[in-house]
Amino acid sequence: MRDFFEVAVLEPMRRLYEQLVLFVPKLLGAVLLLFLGLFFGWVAYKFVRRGLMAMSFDRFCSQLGLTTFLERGNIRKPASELLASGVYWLIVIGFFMIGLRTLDESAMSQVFARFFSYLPNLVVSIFIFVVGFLFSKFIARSVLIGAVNAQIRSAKLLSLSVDLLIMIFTLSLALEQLGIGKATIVATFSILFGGVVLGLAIAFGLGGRHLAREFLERRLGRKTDRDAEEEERFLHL
Amino acid sequence: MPKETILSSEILRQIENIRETDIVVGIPSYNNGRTIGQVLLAVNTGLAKYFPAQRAIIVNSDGGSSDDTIRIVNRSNPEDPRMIMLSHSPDPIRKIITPYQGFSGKGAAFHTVFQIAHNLNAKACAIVDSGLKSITPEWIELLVKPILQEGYDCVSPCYLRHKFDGTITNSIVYPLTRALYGKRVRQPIGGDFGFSGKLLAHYLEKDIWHANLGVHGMDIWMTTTAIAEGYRVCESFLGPRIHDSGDSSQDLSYILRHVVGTVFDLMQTYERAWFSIQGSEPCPVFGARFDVGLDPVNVNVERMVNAFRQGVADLAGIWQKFLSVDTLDGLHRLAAAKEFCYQDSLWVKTVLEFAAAHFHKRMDRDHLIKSMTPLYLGRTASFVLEARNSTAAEIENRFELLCLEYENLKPYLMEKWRN
Repeated sequence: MRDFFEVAVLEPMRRLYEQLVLFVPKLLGAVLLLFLGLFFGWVAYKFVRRGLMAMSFDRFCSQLGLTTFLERGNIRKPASELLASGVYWLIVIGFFMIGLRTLDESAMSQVFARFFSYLPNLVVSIFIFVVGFLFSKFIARSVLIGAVNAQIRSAKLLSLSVDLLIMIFTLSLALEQLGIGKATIVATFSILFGGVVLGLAIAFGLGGRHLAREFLERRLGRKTDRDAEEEERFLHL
Repeated sequence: MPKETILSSEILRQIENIRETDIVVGIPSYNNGRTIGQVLLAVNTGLAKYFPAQRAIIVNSDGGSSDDTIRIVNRSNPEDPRMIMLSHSPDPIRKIITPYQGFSGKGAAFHTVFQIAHNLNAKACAIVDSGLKSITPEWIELLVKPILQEGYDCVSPCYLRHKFDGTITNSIVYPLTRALYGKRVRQPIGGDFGFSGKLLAHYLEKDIWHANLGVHGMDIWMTTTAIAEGYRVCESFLGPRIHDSGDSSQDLSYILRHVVGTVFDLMQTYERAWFSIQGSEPCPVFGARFDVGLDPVNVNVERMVNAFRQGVADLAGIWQKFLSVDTLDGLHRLAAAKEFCYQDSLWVKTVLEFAAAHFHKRMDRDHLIKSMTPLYLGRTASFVLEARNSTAAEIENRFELLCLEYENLKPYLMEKWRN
């Protein structure tokens, strides 16, 4: 009876106690790490936010059209706050993962390794997206101004198309970096891009025959009838 | 002293042989075979007729012409038999022919001419355009004499022009420069100038020579630098300016980008100079004013108004980043109006707000100025509609009112500049 009590009750409780003795410090360590993560995240948040505000980052983003873009997605926070929040969560999640690893090294080490090996991909894809976004806005604005100055009727449509094409290309690059639906994205992009180019070619061929002729005639140095009519002997300077 | 020389060893050898001169006449050229012969003839005659006692050098700085420009310059003889010499100089007029040194463009050509003039200790240097069809020997007298005899540092040209010509000058550059720096220099981007040796040395000290001011930015840079830095500036009335090739074939936004961009850049450079200036004063003018008949000018007003309307429809989203609500409203109202009239006050506010936005870098500066093109066309169309039946004197009075509007709104600019 005594042996039974020792084997059935005391031994498991001892083992539980031993495990608890081993686990509690790990748990405390994990909680401590989580709090440290929250603290460092908060410090980094404040530091990044103030730094970005000092550099007029929000105004810069507003000028680039990033703020408008975010507002369209119903995100009404300033860009500096979003970026600072990103840094905050990155630090908190990083510390949380380290904390989890201290709890159960064998189970978490794989997750931990995968998380940290994935992190550079995430950073690179965010970078690709931001650069692509800025580039698309810049080129779209160049196209819009150039087309308006050349008095092309559908200047806005042209600019929007360029913007869209660059953004599709950027998104496909960013998602490919994240390893999401690689084959699908490449296929979608190829179909979309090819379709747009073909569509434009057909539209230009059918609708812009006169424009194409004028363009070629101008290129070849021949004056069109319209040119001759509208030639201005007019000095701006 | 200039920091470095950009002249080739061959040119330096020529300079060493010549040693010193009184006058340098620079003729930058690029494919001007049709006119450069006539320009050289006028320059040679002008030097021989008006400056027989002075030593003079003609410098042709060519940008790699592919036509017969170089051949014509090489062949031209200062003692041209077609010239009627009233008196002969004891020293013959010499020539230096050199390609641009350094960056290509008008700035590089001017840099080369100025460097040669400076190395030769020239007292005066005149620059004339090689594409001119209307140049006469008197131009050389009028560009050089105020420097040699009256002690001026910069002679700016004053031309007789068609009432519709020079709209960038008349609607932006002249009134804005006048309001900013307080000097009434009528053609600050004229193309033909006279400079003293002192001013040349000062120009050569500047770090502008590697910047790309384009074909059109150089003139306004030279004039503004002279005015803002307190050099003695005067004007010479040269008569009509007829150029072999106009600027109508060039991309207007490119012209605006270089000319207006340089004016805006200089506003930043000379911020301290123009903040303290109020009103404006005329500059002394040399040469007798006269009237001649000018060729009619074709202007397609409808095309310009359409460009303005399309600009307002498509670019308002860009402008709203830096134009005030009032100005933007005014532009929308004008685009919708049946009677097209771009009022002075609205136009001046538009220009000043663009200048302040350029200073504050509200967006890419290239985009900012290029987006101004439809507005400029709208203003030009409005001016043509208004001035269709006006005389030259009435037009000049009209410009005076515009200039006063710029001067009156200068505090508005200063307020925008500070915020």
